[in-house]
Amino acid sequence: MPTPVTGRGGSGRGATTPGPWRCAWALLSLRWRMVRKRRHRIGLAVAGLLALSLLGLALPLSQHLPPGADPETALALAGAIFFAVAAIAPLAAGGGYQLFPPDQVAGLAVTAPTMVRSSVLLTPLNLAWYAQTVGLVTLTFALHTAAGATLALLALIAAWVSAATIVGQAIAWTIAGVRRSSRGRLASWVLLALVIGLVFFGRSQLLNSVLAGPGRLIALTRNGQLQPALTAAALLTVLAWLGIKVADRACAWTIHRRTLGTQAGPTDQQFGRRSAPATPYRALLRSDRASVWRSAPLRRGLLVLGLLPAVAAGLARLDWPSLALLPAFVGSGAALLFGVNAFCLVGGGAVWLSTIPQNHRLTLYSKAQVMFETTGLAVAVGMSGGLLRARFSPDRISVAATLASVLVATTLVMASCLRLSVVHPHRADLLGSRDTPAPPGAMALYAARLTALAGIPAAAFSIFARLQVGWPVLVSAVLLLTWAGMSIRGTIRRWDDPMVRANVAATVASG
Amino acid sequence: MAQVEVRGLRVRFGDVQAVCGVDLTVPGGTGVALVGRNGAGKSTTLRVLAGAQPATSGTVIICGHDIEREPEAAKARVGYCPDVGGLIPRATAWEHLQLAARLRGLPATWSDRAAELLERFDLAGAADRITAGFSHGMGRRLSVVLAALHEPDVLLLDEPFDGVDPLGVEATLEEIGRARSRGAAVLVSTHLLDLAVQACDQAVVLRRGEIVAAAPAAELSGPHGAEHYRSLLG
Repeated sequence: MPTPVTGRGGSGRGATTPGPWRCAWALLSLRWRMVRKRRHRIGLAVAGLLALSLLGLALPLSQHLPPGADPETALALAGAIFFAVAAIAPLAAGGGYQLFPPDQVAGLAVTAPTMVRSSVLLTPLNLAWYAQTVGLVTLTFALHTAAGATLALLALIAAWVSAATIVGQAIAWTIAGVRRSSRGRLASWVLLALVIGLVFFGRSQLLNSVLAGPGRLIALTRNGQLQPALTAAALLTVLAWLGIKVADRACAWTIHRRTLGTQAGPTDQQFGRRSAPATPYRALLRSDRASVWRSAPLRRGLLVLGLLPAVAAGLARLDWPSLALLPAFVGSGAALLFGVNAFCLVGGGAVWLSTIPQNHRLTLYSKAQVMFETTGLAVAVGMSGGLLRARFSPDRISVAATLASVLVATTLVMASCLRLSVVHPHRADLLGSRDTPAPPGAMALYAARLTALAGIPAAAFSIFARLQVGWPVLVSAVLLLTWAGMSIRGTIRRWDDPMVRANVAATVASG
Repeated sequence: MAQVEVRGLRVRFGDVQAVCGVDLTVPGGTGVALVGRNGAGKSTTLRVLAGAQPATSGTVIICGHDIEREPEAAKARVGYCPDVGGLIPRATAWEHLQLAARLRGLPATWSDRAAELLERFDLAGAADRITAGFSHGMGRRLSVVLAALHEPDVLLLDEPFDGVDPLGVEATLEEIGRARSRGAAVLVSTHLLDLAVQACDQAVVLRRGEIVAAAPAAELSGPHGAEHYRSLLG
């Protein structure tokens, strides 16, 4: 982890330290320049434009909300969910998102304020954050129907989104710091248990009202009146400024509390010896499973991805057709933890492992199985909250649609991840608590790809369940599973090429 | 029959020609040092010999097995210590050895040999810790242990002395000596000329992917040898 520097001052004779925003921007520019292939740059630019265009669609969409919808209640809820995402998503990333793994910028003495600002700049790449922003903008425009205040409303939304995002980061950094001690970890578990208890023992009204508080601020400016909107925007800007100061200090404090350098977790811990595995495949499987469960970002990510949807689904008391949507989002999120670059589990050992005589397909099968297990586990935990508190008792078609959604989402995501792992490997060892399996831009594209891949079939299953038609569930499940099987077969063939295997091993083991 | 026979080896990465027509013969019991500047093609050559990198053209025969046609048979005779990393971050040292033993199908006595190697390389106390917490030198030493575990006929060591303390260097030199005395061919890539001379009897100087000199290692020792070596680097 780079040395945290919180104060201002020169870094050498006659040198002036640039501000943290400029440093963050310089790091961001470097990351962009590192996207070497022209088609990748074009892909990222197109994705960015598409994202902005979708945001622009919020205004016309707001005029077509379903009849009977209550935008004021929905806005308060959307604000609450946005705030929860803004605080919890960076917490899953160890406090904030990172542009570079710490060892790559160790010589640059990246300061805590620079880390906070680069994390803020990366936030829009989080698909959950982006989706909540689109929802928030749509609902705000739906509520404020009076003409002539569009710009003021836009300013208000921008100020709200910025303030909530920055305050969320301050909270995430603080919790990450608190969790550096055993007492802090215990306290965070107690808090989590309290939240789950509130949800499952019928006290979710209290939680709802606490969370919805910030969202109601936007509703204060109803009817599109100019002055209250601008006053609220100004106040939110001040809040954002204060938030970033708090986040700077929280980040520096968190880093200071890390006593193990760049490592997250107890690297000096002794692990007991187990008897030798019965077969080479089991040996590989054991090694890959250990690589997942001994990694702090993977453990934390799986926990958040499992528990957060469980709590949310429990709070919302979804009906069965809506439950069919959950596996897609939980499954694609779980796959982003390591599945999109599955060979990073062996990291630096990839080249050594490739020189041991063995059936090369076993290494691929082992990664696929571990991916299937972890994704399946996250989906099962994520579904549990919804299943326990689902509205109405299930019918046969809804149960079939939900089961089909679980199976199809998990298999499609695994097939896509295997392909990405073989075709686009990245160097990543997932040692630090903020490490991701691929660079930020690639992660954003992977998130969009996996969400669409699993989300569209899940939406179809949900519609079939709502319409109470059974046969399309079976037919589409069979077709999609066949497609996933063909994709996996193609990936295995590609893996048979020694050049492809050498490229994967050299890339993930580099550095 | 030589343990290692390389004929016309070429490796190209896109526009970069990493190895351009290397010919090499290493009989059993011989130690060959591969020396040269950064980017000379030493590590790439060793990677091809270990079966980790396919050659663009040329032939590599390991103990009579063509590495391209019979990769499994050739790899079974090789022990390889890569230049960077080489270790699974969240596996313990013992788990690495256990994995290697299972994948290579070693007899049950592997654990005695593993324990002995860990002791000699001063890693016994760290055997049950994950390698992410290892220092650079400890990681290098474990990589040598992993390469030597199955007593291979061809031992390939890429920068085995890099960042290693004197006791670790001693243990590595001893292991190279043992391998050579049981008839294994040893190839060592290093920038540390003195250690290369100690470990090997032959030296091959590479420059821009080509062999520019091959001579007894002793000729590169001492001030005159070092001067001669510098002149070969170009």
